[in-house]
Amino acid sequence: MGKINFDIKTKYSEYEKLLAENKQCDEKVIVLDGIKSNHKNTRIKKVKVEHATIPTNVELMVESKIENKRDFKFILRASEFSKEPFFRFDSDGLAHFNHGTGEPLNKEKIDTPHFHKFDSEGRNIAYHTNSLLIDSEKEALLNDVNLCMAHFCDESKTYFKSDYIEVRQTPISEIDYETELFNPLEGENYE
Amino acid sequence: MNDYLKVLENIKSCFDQLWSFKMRGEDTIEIITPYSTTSSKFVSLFLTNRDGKFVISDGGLLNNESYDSKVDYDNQCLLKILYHFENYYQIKTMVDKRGYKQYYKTTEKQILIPNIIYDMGQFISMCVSSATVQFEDQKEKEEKETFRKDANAFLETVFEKDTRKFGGCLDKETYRTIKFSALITKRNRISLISYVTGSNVTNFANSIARANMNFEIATSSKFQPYIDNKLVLMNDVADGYVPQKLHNQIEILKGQTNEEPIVWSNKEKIRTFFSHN
Repeated sequence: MGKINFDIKTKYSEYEKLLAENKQCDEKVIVLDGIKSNHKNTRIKKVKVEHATIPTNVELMVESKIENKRDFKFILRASEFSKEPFFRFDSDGLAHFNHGTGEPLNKEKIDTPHFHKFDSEGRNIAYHTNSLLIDSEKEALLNDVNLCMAHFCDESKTYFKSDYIEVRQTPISEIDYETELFNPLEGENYE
Repeated sequence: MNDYLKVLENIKSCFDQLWSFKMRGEDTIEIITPYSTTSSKFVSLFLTNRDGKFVISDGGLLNNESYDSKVDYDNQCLLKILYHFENYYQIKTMVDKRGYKQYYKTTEKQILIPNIIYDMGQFISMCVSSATVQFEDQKEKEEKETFRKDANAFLETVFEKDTRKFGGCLDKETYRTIKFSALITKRNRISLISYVTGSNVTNFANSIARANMNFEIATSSKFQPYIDNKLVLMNDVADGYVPQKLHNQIEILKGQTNEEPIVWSNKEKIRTFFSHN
């Protein structure tokens, strides 16, 4: 049994509403002009989001690795509701184990890219949308952060007015690095 | 028997399907293994071939906290467990260009790659899961957390935002694990503040010992000429504060800081201390 989010478990109907109802982002274009304090290789930006009916502060956070633009995260958090983000998308990173959900073992491993949400037991569940299961669509989404953000907007019901939100991974004032594939062994020496 | 065969086939098939792969650059492959952790992640290993030698590394993911588990280097119990695994599986380590510790093994024989994947998968899985264990008792954890929050809130009223840093280290390269409760900077000069508390006498004594050791390391570091003050903020309302039993420890600490510890019930002294220094 993985970690249980008791905030979400006890307020599950409100959680469902938080996720399913429209949310309005303050900005049409999110420019990642900050650097993550504990990971200097990551650009970051947080913007305000308003929920249509629940009066709580929601925040949309976008992170992107400076030298690998295929490695990004979209994170929705409502701190007063739950400290843990209530919905997220990871383009890269480790596979998630949906442990103990009653699915066959081979279905409990969810590789990245994947979305995360919570089930009624307060368990953090990773899942694939249909687009993420088709290789060509998955590649298109990873190669275009805006296409991927549009997918996230639909999946999380978060928009700017009725438009999709856009992301600028590199602010104009900064050097725009070529995307290098993540390879932690590159250029390292081993005994 | 037939049913058992089906069951067995299904077990093997499900396990088989837990392997997946991603290419990482030209010559490296990420192997997403069936080994998992109690932080609900699957262990990823990176395989490359260097001049006929196969390297299998964790890519620094344990050290950079990708598994959502933080190794507490103050926790001797945890360190013993990790060293035990490291020795048993004969794991090598190196620090990569990004500053992360990578755990790895090598072989020149392609046929032995599965052996290494097995060892590395087990090793990372057990290290991550051990690091997610709650070792401290709840009362101690709450005591430390509450005091930290109260003390931080108080220091926020004493020092300007851009002069204070909570829970920071002297530098992230050499002294990553040597953390102080608060670092106060003023014109390139630095003051180190350590909080000392504990829910019982033993934990209180351990908290003194840790503060003492961190001050000593700072004193013998290259930062020594820039350190103005070493201060202790001691929680004299904690259950573990029993001065008659802690006399020796407190004396050693005083010798280290050249100052009397400032006790919580007299915390305003910090304000006057800094207005005069």
